[in-house]
Amino acid sequence: MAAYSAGTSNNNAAPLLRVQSLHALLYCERLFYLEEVENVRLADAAVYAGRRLHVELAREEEGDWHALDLKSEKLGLIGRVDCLRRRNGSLIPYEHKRGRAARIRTTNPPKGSKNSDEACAWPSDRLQVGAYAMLVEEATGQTIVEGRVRYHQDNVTVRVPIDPALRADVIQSISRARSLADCVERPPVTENERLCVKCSLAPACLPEEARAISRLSSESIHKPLQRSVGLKTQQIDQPSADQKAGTGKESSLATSHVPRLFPADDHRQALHVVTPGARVGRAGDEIEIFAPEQPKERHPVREIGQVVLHGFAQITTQALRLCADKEVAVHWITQGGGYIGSFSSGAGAVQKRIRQYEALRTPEFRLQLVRRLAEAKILSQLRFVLRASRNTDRETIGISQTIDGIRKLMPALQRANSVDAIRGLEGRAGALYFKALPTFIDSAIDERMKPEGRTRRPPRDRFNALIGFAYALLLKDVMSAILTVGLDPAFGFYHRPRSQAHPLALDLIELFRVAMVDLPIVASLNRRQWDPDDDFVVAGFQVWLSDLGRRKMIELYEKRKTDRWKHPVLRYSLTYARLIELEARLLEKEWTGEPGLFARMRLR
Amino acid sequence: MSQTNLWYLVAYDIRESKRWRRAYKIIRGYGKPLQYSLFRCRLSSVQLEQLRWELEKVLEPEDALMFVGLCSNCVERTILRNRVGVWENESAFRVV
Repeated sequence: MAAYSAGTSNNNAAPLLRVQSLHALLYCERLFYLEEVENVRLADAAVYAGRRLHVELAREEEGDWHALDLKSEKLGLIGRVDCLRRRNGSLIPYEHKRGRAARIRTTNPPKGSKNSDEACAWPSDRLQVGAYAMLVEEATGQTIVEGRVRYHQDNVTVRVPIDPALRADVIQSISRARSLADCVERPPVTENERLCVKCSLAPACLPEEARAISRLSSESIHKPLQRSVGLKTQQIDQPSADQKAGTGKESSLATSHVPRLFPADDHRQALHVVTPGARVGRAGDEIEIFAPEQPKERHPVREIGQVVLHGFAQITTQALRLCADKEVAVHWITQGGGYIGSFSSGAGAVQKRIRQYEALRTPEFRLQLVRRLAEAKILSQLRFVLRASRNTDRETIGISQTIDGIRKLMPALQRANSVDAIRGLEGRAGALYFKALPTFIDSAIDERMKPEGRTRRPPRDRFNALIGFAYALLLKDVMSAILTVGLDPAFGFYHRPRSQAHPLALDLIELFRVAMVDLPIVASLNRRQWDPDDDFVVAGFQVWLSDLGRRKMIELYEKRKTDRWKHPVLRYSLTYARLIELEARLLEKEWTGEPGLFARMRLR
Repeated sequence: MSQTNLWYLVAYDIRESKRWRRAYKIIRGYGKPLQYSLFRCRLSSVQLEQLRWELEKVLEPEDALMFVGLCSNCVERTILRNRVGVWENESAFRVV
């Protein structure tokens, strides 16, 4: 840290490169870029195991162990040499690695040896040792002729001669690193897929999706995509050329071997604090909850994924700091069920935001995104209508009109050439949809539970109180996802930039409203899970959820988040909770060179 | 890179109270105490290594540490007589 600031204090000089970053550079240029330029740092198990190895080594070799921090303005490098030893009068830098050495087949194995492979250093490790050697040379003035790498897994030490070729490699890598650091574009994903399997940054880099899209791009992704959105609805009427193109594309994705790298589920709990007067505090690495007339609760911070404070719950500064440190998001929701805001320590990577601003300010690009988003939303509504009215006589209850009405909007959506026109179409589809919704609710259900159109701020009936609150819960998760991915929630493409709401979050939420809120709520009504008296509070024409109702809705929504769902394009299944983050990442990919995957999920 | 979280029983024996307190505080951040010196933690492979690394910095060679991995069958077969709420079924959320 100090070295970085020393480097940057001189205005013209670029910050010093960490020697490890050269190691990363040779492994994969994209890895180097993500870590050093975008500052995405993710430690995986191997990284922690490596750190533990170094703690163990330091203790075992007490006195003999001298890790050295060195830096050189001339080379532009900074690094920590694991160990420096003197052998036969000359200094030798040691580098300790947890894994195995590389093996090369020897032409004439020595007699009696079972192992015909000779251990040697991996190219990236050679480079690292070379860089350390050059740092030591500059610091001590002595010429270093040899470095050594110790591989702990197969217990061998490999000698690395510090020859002119290696020195030239180091110098060349430094200049390559500098030119990459000046670049604004992420380097492409490496062609060697095997590198990604063990890469700690795979969850941020998403190499699998990037490769999938580069395979698609040979078939010109933009054109078929724009039109294939209406794919499944057309299928009902007549199979089209678009649909054939679409299915062909999907099967090419399915047949090619795709490793699954997307991070699996977050097993952490969402902690909702609903009890009025409750206080959330910190005890060590634990979250502590004091609620009136309830025993004190303590939860390990690593078991908590988010803290949602409803109404007037308190949280201490210490707890907030712990949440920031351990990447726990904190959300505030009003007693009435309105979303207020979030606190998240997510990476505020400025480069990502610059790219986001640049991309979203291009009118044609924005229009294309808006169209795809509106299409996704309208089609989920249509699919839900079709699905809910599957076993009914659509003519008699008037659903056919809704279906036809929404279908008729689709061609207009393709022709629409302004964001306002698309807003209008989406609004009309929404009105049709909400008009049809009451018919999906069992006729035997209490009349008071049925909606009369869509009302909000305040909700005027029980149904609207439910979906209003659930949308607030959904919004907090969408916000979290956007902040985790590192985008700016205040700069969207569809909703108008207003100061109080977060337009990008409002944009993204459109993808999930039907699947994550409308559908489970209608289903729960039909299961008769709601009590019109106990679960709601009616104040004049306003209707709110009671404490009991709020708890029920939280349960319903949080359970929905754990439902698994197979993404129709990426073809792997993940929970809705994860899906939100995936779509946020795919949105970013629209302008980072791998477009075409955002908003392609459809309700089945 | 699947990060399936597995249950672990973490048991330790630490010979000095100062180190014990530090280790105890670290583990409390990862899982819940079942009994003295016995924790149950649901850890991803990353968290397992992270916890081992953090403890390694505190422990001395004379201290003992054990991680017992439990499969889902082992978890189901666990017989407990414990304080209430110590080993409850984990759900995806908690409402207080």
